[in-house]
Amino acid sequence: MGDRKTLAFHSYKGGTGKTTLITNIAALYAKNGLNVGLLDFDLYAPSLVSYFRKKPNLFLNDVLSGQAEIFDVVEDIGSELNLKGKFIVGFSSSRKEDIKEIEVRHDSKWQLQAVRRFLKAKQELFKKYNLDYLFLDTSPGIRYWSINTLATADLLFLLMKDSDMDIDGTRKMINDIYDSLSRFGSKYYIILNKVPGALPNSRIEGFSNEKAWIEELERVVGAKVVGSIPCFCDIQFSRHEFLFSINQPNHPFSTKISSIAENLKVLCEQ
Amino acid sequence: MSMNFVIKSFKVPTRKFAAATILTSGTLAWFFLLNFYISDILTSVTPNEPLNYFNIGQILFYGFAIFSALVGSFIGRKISRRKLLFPWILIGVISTVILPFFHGIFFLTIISSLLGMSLGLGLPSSMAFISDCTEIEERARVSGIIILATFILAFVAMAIIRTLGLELVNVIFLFAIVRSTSLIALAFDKFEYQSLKPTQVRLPNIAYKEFLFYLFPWIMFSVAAGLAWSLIPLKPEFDAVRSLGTNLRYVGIAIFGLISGITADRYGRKPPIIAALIMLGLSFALIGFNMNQTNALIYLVVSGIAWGLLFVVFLAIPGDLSKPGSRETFYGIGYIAPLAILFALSSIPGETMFTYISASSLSQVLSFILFMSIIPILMATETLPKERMQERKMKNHLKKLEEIIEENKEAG
Repeated sequence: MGDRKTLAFHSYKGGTGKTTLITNIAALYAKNGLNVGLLDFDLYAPSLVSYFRKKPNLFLNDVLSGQAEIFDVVEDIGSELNLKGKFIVGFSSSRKEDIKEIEVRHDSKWQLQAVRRFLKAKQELFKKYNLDYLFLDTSPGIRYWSINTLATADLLFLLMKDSDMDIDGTRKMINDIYDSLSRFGSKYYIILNKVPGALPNSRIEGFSNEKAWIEELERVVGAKVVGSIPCFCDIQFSRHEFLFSINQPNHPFSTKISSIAENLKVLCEQ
Repeated sequence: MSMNFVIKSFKVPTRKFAAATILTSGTLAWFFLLNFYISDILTSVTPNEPLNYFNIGQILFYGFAIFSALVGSFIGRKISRRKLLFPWILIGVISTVILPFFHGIFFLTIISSLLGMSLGLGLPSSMAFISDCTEIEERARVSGIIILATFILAFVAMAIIRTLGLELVNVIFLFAIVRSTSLIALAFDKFEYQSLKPTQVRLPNIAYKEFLFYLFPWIMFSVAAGLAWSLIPLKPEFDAVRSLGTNLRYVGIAIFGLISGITADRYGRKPPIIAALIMLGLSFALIGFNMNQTNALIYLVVSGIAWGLLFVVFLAIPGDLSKPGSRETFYGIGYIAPLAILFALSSIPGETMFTYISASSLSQVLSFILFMSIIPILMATETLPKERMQERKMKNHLKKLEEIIEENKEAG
C-alpha cells in the first residue's frame, strides 16, 4: 500500500468526541487488516491512556524531550484486541507536572526542536511497522501541540458540533491557522459529531433536508464536510465501552464510523 | 525604512487608516510646534507688557484646551463627527493665521482661548475615530504610526524654519499650513459613527475601575513630566545639552512610540508602561543625585524614550476599555486632560518652583511618585486579551514550523 498518510483530528473546543472518533476509525482499519498507528498528542489533556487502561512507563512527552526513542514508548495492541492488522498506540503523560512543562515551561525554540524529534520518530514508525496510516489525536484550540501536530499531518479533520460557538470558532481557526497549514501541502475537512436530531427517523425541524443544511455550513465555515454523526446518548455516557466499531459493529454509530472510514480512505488516495 | 513588518497584518481599511493618521498627526504636530514656540508667539502678541501676561496667555491656552476637550467629549456623539471636525480644524487654522495681525492684552485673552479650544474641542473625537476603526491587536501600532507621523511632520516644519531662517510671521503661517493638513483627512473618510443602541454603548462598571488603574499613572506621569521641565538649570553651560537633548527627546518619542506600538500589540499594554515608568523614575533619581551636563543629557534622552512609550500606549488604552459611543469621554478625560496638564505645568518657571523645593528634592520626589505609579498598573487587567497574544505567538510559530516541514520534505 503506497498511501502512508498521517491524519490529525482536531477541534476548536473540547468535548467534540475527537478521541472516540479517531480511536474507532483507527481500530476499524486495523480490524480490516491495515497497519495503523495512533498517537495521543492531546498533551494538555490526555485521555487515551485511561481509555485503554494502560500504565506505561514512558510517554510521547519523553520522545519529544529526547529522553526516549519512539519504540520505547509505543506498543502493538492489535493482537490484544483481536485485530488483523497492527494497532500501534503511543500515550502521553497525564501527570500534572508533565502537562505544565509542555504548556508553560517550554519556549518556541524547544517546541521546534521537539517537532524535529517527532518528525524523525514518525519516519521510523512508518518504516519499522510498515504503517498504512498514522492517526494523531490533538488538543483542541490553538496551542503549541495542536499546531505542531497539525503541521506534521497530511490530512486534517476538524470535528465540530452544531453550535454557534463551534461554528464561529471553527471558521476563525480555518482563517487563522488552517489556510496557513494548507501551504504545507495538507488538506482539511470537517466532520460533524453529536448532531442533534440527525437520526434517520428524527422529526426535529431543520433536519428534513440535511444535505442543504450541510451545504450551508460548508459555505459558512469554508471547508468541506466529509461526515456527519448523530448524537448517541449511549456512546456519550458509556462508562466502559468506547471501541464500539470493534465490539458492537451493528450499532448505528459503528455503521456511521464505517462509512466515514471509507470516505477517509478515498480522501487519502486523492 | 520598510513599514511592512508593522502594517502587514492590519485589518483597518487603508482609507480609514490614512484619515486617522492625517487628521490626528496634523493637529498634534501643530500643537507640538506651537508649544515649542509658544513663548515667542505670545510675547509677540503683547510685546510691551510684562512677562506675567504671557503666562496668563499660556494658562488660558491649556485651560481652554482641557475645558474644550471635556466639552468636545460630551457633545461628541450628539452631533455628526464631520460637523465637529471640520470647524475644529478651521478654527485652528484661522486662529493661527491671525496671530501676527493683532496685539494687546484683550487679543491675547481671546486668541489664547481660541487656540486652546481649537486644540481640545475635536481631539477626543479624532482619537476616538482611531479606536473606532481599529481592532484591539492593531490599535497600538496604528497609534505608534500616528505619533511617528506627528513628529516627522513637526521635524520637517522645524527643518524648514531653521534652513530658511524664517521670521516669526512666516513660522506662524507654516504652523497654519501644518494644521490645515488635517483637512485632507476629511477627503478620505465620511467619519460616520457606527449606529448603536444605548445598550451597546453601555460599559460594565469594571471598565471604569480598570480605566482608573490606568488613569492614575498617566496623570502621575503627566504631573511629573510637567514639573520636571524646569529641572535643568537655565545656565549657559547647559544650553548646548538642553538644545541637543530636546532634539534627541523628540527623536526618541517618534521612534520609541512606534516600538511601543509594536510591543504593546504583541506582548500587551502593561510592559511598555512599566518599562517607561522605571526608566523615567531612574532618570529623575539620576539628576536628583547629581545635576551635571552628562546626567541632564541622559535624562532628556531617557525621558524621550519613556514619553514615546507612554504617549502611544495611552493612546490605545482608552479605546481598549471603551466602546464606540463612549470613547470620546474616555479620551477627553483620560488622554487629553492629563497631557494638557503636563504642558501647562511645564510652563511654570523654574525660579518660581524652586523657591518652595530644591531641584534635587523635587527630582527625588518625582522619582518616587513614578515608581509608586507602577502599583496600579500591576493591579490593572491587561487590556489586550491573552487569546490575541496567543494567536499572534502561534502564527509566528507556524511560520517557523513551515521551514522545518519543508526541510523534512526535502530530506525525506
